Amino acid sequence: MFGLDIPLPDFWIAYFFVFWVLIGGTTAPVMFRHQGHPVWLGVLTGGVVGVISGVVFMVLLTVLKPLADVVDDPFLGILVSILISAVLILIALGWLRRFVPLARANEVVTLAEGGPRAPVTYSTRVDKVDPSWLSVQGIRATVVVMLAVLSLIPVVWMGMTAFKSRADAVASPPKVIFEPTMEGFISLLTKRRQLTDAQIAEYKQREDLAWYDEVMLKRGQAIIGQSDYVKRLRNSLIIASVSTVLSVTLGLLSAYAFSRFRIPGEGDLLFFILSTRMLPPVVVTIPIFLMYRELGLYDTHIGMILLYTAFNLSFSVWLLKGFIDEIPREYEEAALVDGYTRMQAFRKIVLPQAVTGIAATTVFSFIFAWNEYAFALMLTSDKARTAPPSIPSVLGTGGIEWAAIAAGSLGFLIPVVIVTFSLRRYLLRGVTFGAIRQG
Amino acid sequence: MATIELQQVEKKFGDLHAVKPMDLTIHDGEFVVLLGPSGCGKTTTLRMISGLEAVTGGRIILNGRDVTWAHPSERDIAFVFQFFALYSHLTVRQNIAFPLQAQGESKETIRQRVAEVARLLRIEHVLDVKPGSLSGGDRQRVALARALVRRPAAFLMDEPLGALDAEFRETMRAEIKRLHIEQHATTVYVTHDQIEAMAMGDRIVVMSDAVVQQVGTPAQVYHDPANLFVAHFIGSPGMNLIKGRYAAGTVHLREGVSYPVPDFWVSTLNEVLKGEGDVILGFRPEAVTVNSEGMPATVYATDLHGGYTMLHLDLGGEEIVHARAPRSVHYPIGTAVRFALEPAMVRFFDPVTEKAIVREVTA
Repeated sequence: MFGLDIPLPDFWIAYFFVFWVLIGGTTAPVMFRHQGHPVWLGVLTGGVVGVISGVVFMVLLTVLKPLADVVDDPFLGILVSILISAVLILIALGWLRRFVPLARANEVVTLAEGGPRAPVTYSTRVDKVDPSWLSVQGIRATVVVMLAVLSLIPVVWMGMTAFKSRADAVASPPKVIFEPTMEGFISLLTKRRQLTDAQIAEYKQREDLAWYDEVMLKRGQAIIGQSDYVKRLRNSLIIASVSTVLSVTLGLLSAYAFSRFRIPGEGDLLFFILSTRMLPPVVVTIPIFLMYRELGLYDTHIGMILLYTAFNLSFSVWLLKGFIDEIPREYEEAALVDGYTRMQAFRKIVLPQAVTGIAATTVFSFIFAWNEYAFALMLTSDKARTAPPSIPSVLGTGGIEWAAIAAGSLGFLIPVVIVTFSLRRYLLRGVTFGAIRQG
Repeated sequence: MATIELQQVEKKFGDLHAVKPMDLTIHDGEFVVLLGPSGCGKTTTLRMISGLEAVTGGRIILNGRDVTWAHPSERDIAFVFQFFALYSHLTVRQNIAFPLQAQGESKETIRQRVAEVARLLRIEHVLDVKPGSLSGGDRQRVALARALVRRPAAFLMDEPLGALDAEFRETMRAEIKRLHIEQHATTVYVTHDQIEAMAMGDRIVVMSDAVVQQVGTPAQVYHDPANLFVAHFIGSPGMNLIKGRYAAGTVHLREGVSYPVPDFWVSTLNEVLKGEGDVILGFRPEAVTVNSEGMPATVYATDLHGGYTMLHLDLGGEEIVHARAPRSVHYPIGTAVRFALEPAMVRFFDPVTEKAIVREVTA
């Protein structure tokens, strides 16, 4: 690429090029907006800076090639170039800033108001007056975006793999640009049979093949039915949601009791509840397996729901107790003297006030139940088997189906993302809690 | 409205006796203030009346009905909390309507009553905002509105002005007083601020260490304190309390300082102390007149309070006497002065029982 002799696979080069453009393109607008300039100017500047630093990066790689050769570790080369490029990008941004009419010292940049600002000669707020604060914001944004991008690499990689063909998925060096195919998804969702050459020839003659049949035919396979994956995903959904609802509901009631009433041996009970979390779950899988077999709970939805509820309960009691403790008692007492029963007061006052805590607990409980692997592997076989232990079983015969695994993981990721995103407003604990205290 | 009767009501938290058995009758339409330092049991008493705290012993009678074990919602009592306890997730209107909804009132009635009470408290302009954005005074008005809207038998207020700025406190004090007069509602009001208590109460219940020290009108607790605690606690500064020894119509306070007891006290003291004994002399700062006769003292400090001057007089190097003087009075520190006491304002206390010595009034 770029006619340079670079000791790295194509992918990394493309990736880092995009990476820098991304950083430039996202941080610069943030800075510009803070300074009251139009966002498009920031995007433009960021783009330019990104491209420049991308090129700088290429040059750096060439320069660093001997280093990478010496330590025999291309990763080190990448690491060093990331750091150097980050510094360069900041210098470049700072330099570009001189060409834009910026807010001078003592000119207030008030985020809340928007638009050009009237000059203020005095303020006790350092962030209003000191222009270096803006650079701090820029650096902060850069770091955040870098971390976000770095932590998203595996997810993006998984998403890409899900759409790769079997050959592309295992290609070395990895392919960044490839021809997307639904092969992974189809092999995830279907059962197939390997065809002989004669059969392939015969199949090719047929007119009644659906698009997915044709995709698979290219691999010499015929679809003979649905796979279990959808069923497993549905099991996961049922078990995770029911156990989440149960553990949050029970946890809320018990946390309320712990928070509001004098309970004999309260401290000991709370510690006992917590102690159920002290053992690594794997340690108790075998005893639980034996118990479940005796009780007929092995491979049942009820069994898994009970288990996850029990495991999440300790967590939800503790978490919710903290949230309920922060709701002033007077709130309910006011409702009590106003003529409500305790249950009504709980429903009308405590529930709306504890919504942040309930949301947080719901997300955490759901994620635990959704992701749990060890118990699900041991205690289910078919009827109640959840998605996590079934994804590796897609591995298949005749080579690992990486595309199918990636597709399965992607589908597995979606519900958690949906739950977390739909509750994210309530997860901003600080924001809501300020309001409660003031009330 | 309502009469509230406490009969031998007490409260224990484990080993801690929060309120020792107390009797108290609050008459219909009365404004009773529970006054005392923090931790004296006044708030616990109020919470027991409301039903938020269960009694350990005794009975609570509301309008002739025994409500000792009734649920708070069955007592027809409104409670105003120190920190307002407004629901931050509801608007002001919903907050005020909240108790009416519990009673299952119709929408139309609720709307009317909310409007009525909002007009009374001048909070019509904030009805549709959330309490979070209100000023302290407005929040307290909303809390009062929520109490008033139900037209309850009695109001219980737990330091409702404690969380307000000094400026608002004055205004709200007047407003609560005015509301009380207009509504003529039985009110029990808890405070640790004696100025508030004096200004607002028809009667004051002074509490300390879980015990009722005195029940009386503001004038009674101020002028005729039942014991040393009340004498010292009420007033700012409190009553001057000086130890001395009584004998033959004179109290010897210090070497060379003695106070000739007014004639109308002599027979009582002779009788109570069997002719001679230790006694505590008590008098308010305003009972002191600095003049050329009387007891000798030196000026320790003088504070100008705007309307008057507070003199601190050193009595024999051991005790400071507070004296209230006209604002024009000013003495350099160390000046030797003499002071006399207004005979009608002098009180005596028993140093052992700490109780006031009561003068027999001869008809």
